Amino acid sequence: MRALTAAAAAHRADGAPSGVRVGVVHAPWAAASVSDIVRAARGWCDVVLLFRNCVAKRYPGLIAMAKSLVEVAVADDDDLTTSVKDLALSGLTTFHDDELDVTDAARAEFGLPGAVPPLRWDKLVQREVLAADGACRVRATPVESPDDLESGATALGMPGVLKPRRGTSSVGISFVTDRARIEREIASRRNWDGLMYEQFIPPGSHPSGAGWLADYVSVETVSDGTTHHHVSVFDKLPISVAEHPRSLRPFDVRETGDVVPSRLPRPALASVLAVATKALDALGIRWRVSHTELRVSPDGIEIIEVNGRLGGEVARLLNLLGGPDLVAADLSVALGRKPIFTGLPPGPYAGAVYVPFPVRAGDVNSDVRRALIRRLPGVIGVDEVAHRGTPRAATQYRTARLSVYGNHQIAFDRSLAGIADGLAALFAADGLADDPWLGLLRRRLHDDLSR
Amino acid sequence: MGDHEVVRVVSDAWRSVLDIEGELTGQDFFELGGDSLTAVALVERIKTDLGIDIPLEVIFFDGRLSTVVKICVERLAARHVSVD
Repeated sequence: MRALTAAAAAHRADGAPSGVRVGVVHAPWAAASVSDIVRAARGWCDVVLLFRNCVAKRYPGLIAMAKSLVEVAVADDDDLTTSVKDLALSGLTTFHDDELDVTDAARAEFGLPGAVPPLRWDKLVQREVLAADGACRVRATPVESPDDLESGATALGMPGVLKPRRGTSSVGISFVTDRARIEREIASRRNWDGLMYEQFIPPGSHPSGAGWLADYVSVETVSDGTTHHHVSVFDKLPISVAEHPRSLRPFDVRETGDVVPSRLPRPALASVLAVATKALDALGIRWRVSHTELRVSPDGIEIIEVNGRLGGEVARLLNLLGGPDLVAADLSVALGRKPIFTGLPPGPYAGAVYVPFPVRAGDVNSDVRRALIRRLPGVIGVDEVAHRGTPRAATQYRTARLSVYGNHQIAFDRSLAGIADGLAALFAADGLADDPWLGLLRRRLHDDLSR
Repeated sequence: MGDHEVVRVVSDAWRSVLDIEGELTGQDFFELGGDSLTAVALVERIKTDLGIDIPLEVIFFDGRLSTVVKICVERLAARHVSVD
């Protein structure tokens, strides 16, 4: 065990009760920040932030900041068990995808709530488990070489999706639609480790009829010992796909936004929740928060993937609406406690928007400050802006990441249209005014508003 | 330093760290777009501009501008007394 704070050492030394202690395995860019975690825990449980050694070495400022607020422990890179044993924790959780495996291994080792069988977050294993239980129809195969891609596409057919078995936010995904795409992957891809090829789920349309919403949604679920509580469903803005044939990464897929509450009509909503429940049961999910993505296609509802942690924008957006605190709920179920939920107040809408650059390379040309984006209609927070002269990759190719609020649906939709127009103008020097993806989104938003 | 000057200095620090303009409303630091790292930046900026330390917990648990200003006024007064 390394780098315990003095307070933690004193607790153990004098044997005094330490209260209810929950460990959170943390790293930057988790679905909950240090501030989210600390505020959610205040008054009812003691948080211990655990950092793997590799994270602590890379982000010493984060460690220093965290130590001024809560107990902190630094653990081995691949095995938390020694740390967890010494900390006398009643629960353990994480809000970061990269920390899921070590967290679940430690939960299993110490019989803490929320443990799942190994490899549940490996998307290939997940597909196999779901298919065995009749919870999904999509077939998938491992890919570790160009030959595997060839044979996978032959066996499962095209179109298909080549993607990492572990990954988030659609990063690293390629759509394989024909022979030319296979050849392009073989010519350009340098790393073939940990990939999979799966059948493409046919595209659909959002059942609400809103032309600007994507054909997939996410379900945010808090599972206690017996029940999956589907707390909220989020609609999505359409994914953005960029192709740069001569680039080392010729194909780049990016997610672009979330909207809550969902506009799914009741029958579709019921179907989505039923499929999500079946998937969570098949994976053995208990005592944790999960984020399930589902495609709404002409063939029905299909699981895209189940993520064993809180979704990226979920807590913030629900907080904006005065909805349930899912960070607190996560800590609660990690301790084996059933949380008490509040519903979403009817009326307001919230969204997160993160429009990508159409060209996923080079440096930022536009000079845009947060203050300019905050002036756009309905914008209530700007978390990130790409700065002129910096590499576009520095923000994962996002022009900006902002939060939108509308006190009713029409107000929200009008704001979103204004934001799309505004971003196109502000980032015109980076091609956004002529970006086909953004242009289509803008047209569809305005078309829907004019109906 | 008078209270109005403290308000001005803290408000300027707030706007600078959060990169926002105009009148600051009663929202707290995180509602205005702050996060853990910008909270640290604010504390450091206040230390630079006013020469006092304020606990990070203040911003985390009651991050309204009025609260931060109040803490700064109290700490400036305490420093003035101790110097005397």
